Amino acid sequence: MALKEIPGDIQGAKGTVETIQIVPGQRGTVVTIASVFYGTDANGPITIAINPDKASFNLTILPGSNLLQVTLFSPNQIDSSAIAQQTSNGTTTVLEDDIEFVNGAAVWSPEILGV
Amino acid sequence: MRRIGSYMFVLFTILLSLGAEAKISKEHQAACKAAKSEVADAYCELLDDEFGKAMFANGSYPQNGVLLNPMSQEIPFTAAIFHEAYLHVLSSKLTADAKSLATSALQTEANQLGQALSTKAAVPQTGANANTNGSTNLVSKPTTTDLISLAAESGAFTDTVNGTTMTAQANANGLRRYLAGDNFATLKPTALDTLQHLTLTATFNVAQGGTTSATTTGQATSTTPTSITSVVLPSQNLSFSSIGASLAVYRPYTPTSTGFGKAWTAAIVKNQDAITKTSKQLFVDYQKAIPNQGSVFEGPEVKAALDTWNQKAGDDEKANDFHKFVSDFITFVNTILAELETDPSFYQNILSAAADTAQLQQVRNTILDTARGSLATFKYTYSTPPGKPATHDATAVIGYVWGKGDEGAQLTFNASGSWFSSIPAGAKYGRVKDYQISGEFDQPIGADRSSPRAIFSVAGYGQYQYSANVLNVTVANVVPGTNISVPSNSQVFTSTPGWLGVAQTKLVFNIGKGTSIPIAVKWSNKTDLLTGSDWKGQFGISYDLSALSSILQAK
Repeated sequence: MALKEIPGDIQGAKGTVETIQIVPGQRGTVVTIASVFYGTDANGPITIAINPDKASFNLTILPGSNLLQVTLFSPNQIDSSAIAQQTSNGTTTVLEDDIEFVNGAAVWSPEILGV
Repeated sequence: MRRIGSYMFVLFTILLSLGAEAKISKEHQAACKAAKSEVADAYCELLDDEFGKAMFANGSYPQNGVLLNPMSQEIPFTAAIFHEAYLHVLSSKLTADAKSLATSALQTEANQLGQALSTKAAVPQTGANANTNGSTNLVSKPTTTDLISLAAESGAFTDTVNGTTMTAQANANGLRRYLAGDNFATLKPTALDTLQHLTLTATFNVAQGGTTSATTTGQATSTTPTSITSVVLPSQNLSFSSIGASLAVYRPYTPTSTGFGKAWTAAIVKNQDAITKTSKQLFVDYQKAIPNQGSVFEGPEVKAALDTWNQKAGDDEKANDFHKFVSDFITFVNTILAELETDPSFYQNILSAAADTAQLQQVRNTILDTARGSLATFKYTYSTPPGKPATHDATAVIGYVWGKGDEGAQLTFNASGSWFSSIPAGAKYGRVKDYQISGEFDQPIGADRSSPRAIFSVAGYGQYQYSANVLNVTVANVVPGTNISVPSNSQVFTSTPGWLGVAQTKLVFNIGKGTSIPIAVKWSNKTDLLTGSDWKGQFGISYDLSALSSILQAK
């Protein structure tokens, strides 16, 4: 089941595992996921493992509203953008089509509403 | 005071990002500027991008998410309200009249930070090259000025006679940006910014002692011998010494190359702890500022503002009115801010988050530096040293700057060759003058390694000559009274071929505001004209015009 965008949030079914991919917004742009945090526990923000391709990660949707923070780095001299998306059964769902790099760094931080 | 300093750093980082203009059309960029709002500045690229896609007008879904929830990207959001947040926090201590002074002080501090960052390395070269009479640099450096630098130096390395020179350097891109009225410190280069790699250098001999022969036109007194038909006049002129071009292969990399990709990934792994620490802090601080983004949209004002923005954005796109599009977005963001600032600690928390995003960008720069490796430059110089044949000189320069451990320390190596520009008829020497190798270690002194109070250097230089030094001979060189006629193109050998070695130790005082004073002493086993060992001192003063506050701003 894919996540979907709602005003101010992204919504998903709690307990499901969702894979989010980050892809370059333009040809020639190199995008690397530097860190991912989702929700908090007694130790603070929860670290989410980044897949070995450094371009995707898996989330288990938590109940309620939780902040997702994805930090991206790019070595490109001219700042570009990245796209956050999900691909399921050959269908691609765009969650954010313009994650903007500023001085080589971008931070995408939507809240995910687990229902 | 420390906190204010960190805010200055954040502000400077934000100013750099706001100066970006590579991707936006000039018309849309002008519209964002005309709005006179930092919201418009921070989101201009995003607004421009969406306006081009017209997803609001077409009813496409999803529209650009960050324009529906500006809080969902922390870098533009914190940049958009940083100034206001800073002044808001200050206002508890300042009177209203003092706010404008604070804004002015912020700009001044940002300019000073810009100057500190502009040199890219702690030890850029502002003076002449080692082979120039009067240089204080035994080893050429891979980095130079970003605009124009001037240096006056006195001394000699391989020359027997001390010289005094004035060197002017101009970076082609710095000059272009200044003349075009562009921002000095943009970090988003266009194709024209490749000129940054090119620096032009000209060196002049000043206070150059010499003589000129003049024919007499008669005896002024009856006691003067009639055999005096010419006299030697002393001269003290400024004369051209050398001109050169430096092409910096400045930390070359191609983001899409396999080799760089591996280095980039390895650098990220190496710096993962710093990434995690900084981004985790950002998560915490941003969540303190905005505990729940979704609840912001539950407020009736924000809900209504979102509906209005959705409607007007589509209308503006259909009407192709970017000015209105920007203005309507600002209204929407201001409504969100009005909701957020009901929390009395909102602005303080936003300042913390802004500091975190700036720190994150610095971590990224560190990673890029790690992946890019060393500095490399190629230099060409055409020299006409006084009393000697003209030469072409080529120098390959490679430098390594320590990022950790001994931060700011630099190791530089040079490999050079010198060739005579012409060989006169009957010459007993070939085109190759000599080959040189040299190396230097620079140690910054002081707690602030990015702008050290002084730099201590030790350097070594070896020059192998295939023939003895060639000296041009004119009538002025002939020992008085010998009455020898000197044909044009007369040359003699001096000293001996073989190795000439030089060792130097130098202390460069960075006075600040772009001014530095090098003081050095050198020992060599011989000099170009004499075979005995030689001790000499070098002294200079240089000024980098990149330090002028007035040139940092776009006009």
